[in-house]
Amino acid sequence: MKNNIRQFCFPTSVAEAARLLSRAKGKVLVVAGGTRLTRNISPQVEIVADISDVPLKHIKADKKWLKIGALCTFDEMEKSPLLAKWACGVIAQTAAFVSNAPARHMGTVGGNVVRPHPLNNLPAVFLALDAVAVATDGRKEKSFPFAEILKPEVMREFGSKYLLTEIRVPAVTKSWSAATDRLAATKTDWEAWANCVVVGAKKDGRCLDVRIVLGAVLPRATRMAEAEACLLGQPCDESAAWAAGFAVTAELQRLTNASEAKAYACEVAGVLARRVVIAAFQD
Amino acid sequence: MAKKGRGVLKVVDGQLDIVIQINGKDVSLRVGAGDNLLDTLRAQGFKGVKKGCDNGDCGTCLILLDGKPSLACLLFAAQAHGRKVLTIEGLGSTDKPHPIQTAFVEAGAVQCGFCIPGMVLAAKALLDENPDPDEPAVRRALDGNLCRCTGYVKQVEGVLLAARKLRAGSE
Repeated sequence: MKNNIRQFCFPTSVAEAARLLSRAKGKVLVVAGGTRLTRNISPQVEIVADISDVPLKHIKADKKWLKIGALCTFDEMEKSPLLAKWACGVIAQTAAFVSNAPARHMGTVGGNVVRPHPLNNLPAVFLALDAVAVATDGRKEKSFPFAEILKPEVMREFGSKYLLTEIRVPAVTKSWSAATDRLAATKTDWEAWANCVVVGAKKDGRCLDVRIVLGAVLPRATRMAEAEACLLGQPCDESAAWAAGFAVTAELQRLTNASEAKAYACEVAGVLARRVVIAAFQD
Repeated sequence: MAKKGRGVLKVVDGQLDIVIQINGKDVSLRVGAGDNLLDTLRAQGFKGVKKGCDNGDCGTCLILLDGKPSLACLLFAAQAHGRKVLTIEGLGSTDKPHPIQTAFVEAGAVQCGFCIPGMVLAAKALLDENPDPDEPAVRRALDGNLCRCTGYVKQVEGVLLAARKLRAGSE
């Protein structure tokens, strides 16, 4: 296929990569893990920037944040001892669900976030954990809450104006209850019908705080506010989980305009949400 | 060959010069800017890198890139510049097969053989990291390699046999 590539660049620092983006606005294709198909290149692309040498592979925590470098692969996240303990291991578990072994070794968290697809698993987890995406335009660093970053108009800025460098998850979430599950043909099948993440905090058997996020059903990962309201302040028991599940189905039916094509997904998403709520809050 | 500081590669008349360490030898290549690594390796005679789906789904083009399982059909050839590629040709030969290859034959894991180079390399990546895997770990390591002849049972047995052989050899 015809392409207009003039250069392949291999920046070795964040500053160098960000400079490249700002110098050739809209003409740079950033590649890292390389799970993007190489033959579908826009004719606008003149420079391919392979950022895999940029040192952004850290997974560490300080008093305020858990920090995950944008170039961490799914395999590295799955095997991280820190992520295995964080929020009941929900990030590591989600990374382990991703596609197949070579994709888990090649694909990066940054690519999963900035090339948004409804079926990508990690944006739903980060949205549930109140995470922020840290990016730079070469001059200054900017933080985007996940609720913001998943909007298409913001997402378009990544790879053209901003270089994603890190995902930060608030430290308070370390001890939160969490669970995730997905309905798909196989455990790691990328094309799930529904994907659900529930995180939250409870005290004396009651739900203090909760996030219910659905992926795959809608164009982007979305919090289910009405289902969350069903749980807040309630005893963490099966009847609350059933109520949350019904609320998820009703909310999704509204959000998908009762589309017949999505009717099945809305139903199963409610059942999935109920199961994940039970798993997240069980002792 | 150092991986760091790979610099800038200029494309002239749609082509660029790259150097890849393939099976232990530095190979200088002139490739098209949009060429993928799969076609480039096959054009160099590494036909053990199979062309299956060309879409990242089947695993027949699996190679080890700096020791990690990677799908050659998804990478630009230029992305491998300055990096180490291992194909099945670099692992063993007909005269001197690698213990994983021997184990696959002994376990009856090879039928038509099309998927086997990718499976053997996926197994090598697993056994390099975990010399004593259990069956679920083996199945997980092979979950990106599709086989249309078998039910995967023999390949899983082959990897477990290879693990035993390699451990015995290193003791």
